[in-house]
Amino acid sequence: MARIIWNQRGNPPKYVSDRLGIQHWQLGDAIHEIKAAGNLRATDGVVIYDDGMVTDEHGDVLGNIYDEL
Amino acid sequence: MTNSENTIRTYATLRFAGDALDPEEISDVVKERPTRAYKKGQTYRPGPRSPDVTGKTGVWYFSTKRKLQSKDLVDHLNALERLIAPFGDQDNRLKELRDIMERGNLQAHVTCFWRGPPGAHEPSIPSVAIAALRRLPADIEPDFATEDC
Repeated sequence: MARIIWNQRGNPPKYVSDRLGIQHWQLGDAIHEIKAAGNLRATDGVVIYDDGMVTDEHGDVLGNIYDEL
Repeated sequence: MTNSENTIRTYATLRFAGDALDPEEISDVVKERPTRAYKKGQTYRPGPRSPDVTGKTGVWYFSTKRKLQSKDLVDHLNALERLIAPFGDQDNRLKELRDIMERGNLQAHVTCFWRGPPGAHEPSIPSVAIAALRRLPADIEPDFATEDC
């Protein structure tokens, strides 16, 4: 079962990208695209799971980090 | 201005959103296929590793990330400007988009992504680009950062 590795607002720190096995800038890039395509603002928080899944703060799926690399 | 030698990645996005949005209507006007689009209540799959999701509102989304190789943010913003008002808006595209936005109570948002190496100067968004995009009107959200050592 996937575990939450980030559930705050703002840009996730490096330990999140390390956990996903990607570069930190790649994580920022993927989150930017996922939020914009999901009609979220930069200030909106997201939840990131260790399998790359990203949801909004209500738990609704927005996309997967690995799909955006 | 962006110094392209000090850029890891940059791109810009444009999206229209609203409950009454019809993606085909936007595509017809801007004469470009969106990176992603869906109507309110429509089921779509964000990517192969994602489950199907249902659009909470209508969205027409365009990203320059896979369209342009340039590491200069200005080039990406120019591409968005050409979408909404090409050649000085000789074909009244901007007015058509404004009419659609007003009729459907749609919003337009532009985002700018930039990542640079440690110590790089963040780019600025040219006032000309800001003025052009606000004619829609679209708000502009920068997402600029440098990577830590």
